[in-house]
Amino acid sequence: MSKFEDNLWAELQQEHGQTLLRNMTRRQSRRTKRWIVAAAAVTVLGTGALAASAYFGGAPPAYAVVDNPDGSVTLTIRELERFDEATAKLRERGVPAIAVGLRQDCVETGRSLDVPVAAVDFEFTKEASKITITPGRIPVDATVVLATANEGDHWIVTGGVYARDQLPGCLPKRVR
Amino acid sequence: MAAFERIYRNNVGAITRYFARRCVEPQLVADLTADTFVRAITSFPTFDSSRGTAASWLYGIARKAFAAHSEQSARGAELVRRVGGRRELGRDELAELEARIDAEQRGRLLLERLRTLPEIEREAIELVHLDGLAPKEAAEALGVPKGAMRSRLYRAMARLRDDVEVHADEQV
Repeated sequence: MSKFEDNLWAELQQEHGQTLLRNMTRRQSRRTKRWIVAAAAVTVLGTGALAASAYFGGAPPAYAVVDNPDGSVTLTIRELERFDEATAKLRERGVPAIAVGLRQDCVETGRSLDVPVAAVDFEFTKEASKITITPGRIPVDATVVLATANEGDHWIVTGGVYARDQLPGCLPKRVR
Repeated sequence: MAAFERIYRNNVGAITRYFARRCVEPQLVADLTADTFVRAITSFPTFDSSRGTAASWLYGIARKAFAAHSEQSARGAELVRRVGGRRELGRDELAELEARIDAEQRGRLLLERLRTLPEIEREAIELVHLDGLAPKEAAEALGVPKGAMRSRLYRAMARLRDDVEVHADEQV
């Protein structure tokens, strides 16, 4: 970050921090209700990128799990083909999460739970998908269910929190 | 707060460059960048990442901020400074923004060359070819149907080629 960018951020926080906090709360309460239907498009990494990671050392890994200082865990996935494998890494860290299929013909059988949206946060860029889960905000008897589908030139990633004794076998893909 | 800070840090450089292509005054580039993020804070509850990326959302806001500034300038009015009591830039920041404005010189020249194109096509080329947005993101930023973006880009590039050819013929 440059000095200008740092100073501007400090200024925005000082002058508009209260508005931002208020708006974030409003946004989160809106998103809590519809999180399960939220889906985001992620650009597929081209074959060039895959080849680069195969030939050059030091290229970013296909996925990575990082523990954050606030207790949350961030899963960064660059190759969504390996989503199941990446989700298994979350379980290894003690995060209750599973990956299921995302299909249009899926009849959802699980029991979804309302949890604060801050429990699971998605961030998508051209390079990677990031899913940050705060285990402390997931109910004890619940599991985070994540699902992906390849849409040709992009991926859909979605998910929800479900009662552990009534997990879905798949999630329905909404036509956008 | 962390979610918005992430959006800010990932995009502030690109938004500053967007304005550095349009203005040669560092203070104005700083004010327009600040204005964009103040507008973003105000409208953050409406941002839906399932409908578009943060980058396309911010570029859409930046366009509006610049349009409002241009309108006010045309009326001879001062830029409305949304950041309360905005301080003047320090010497380091001025130098930093001057360097960015210099770095965008080629982008400014390209925008100048694109002046013959309809505004929406000009902006589509800028967002895709200068800012590196995907055509879909550019469509979101410009508020046009995604399906129409590729044909707009194709048409704009064809017109540009025609213009270059005519210009070359005139020079022969």
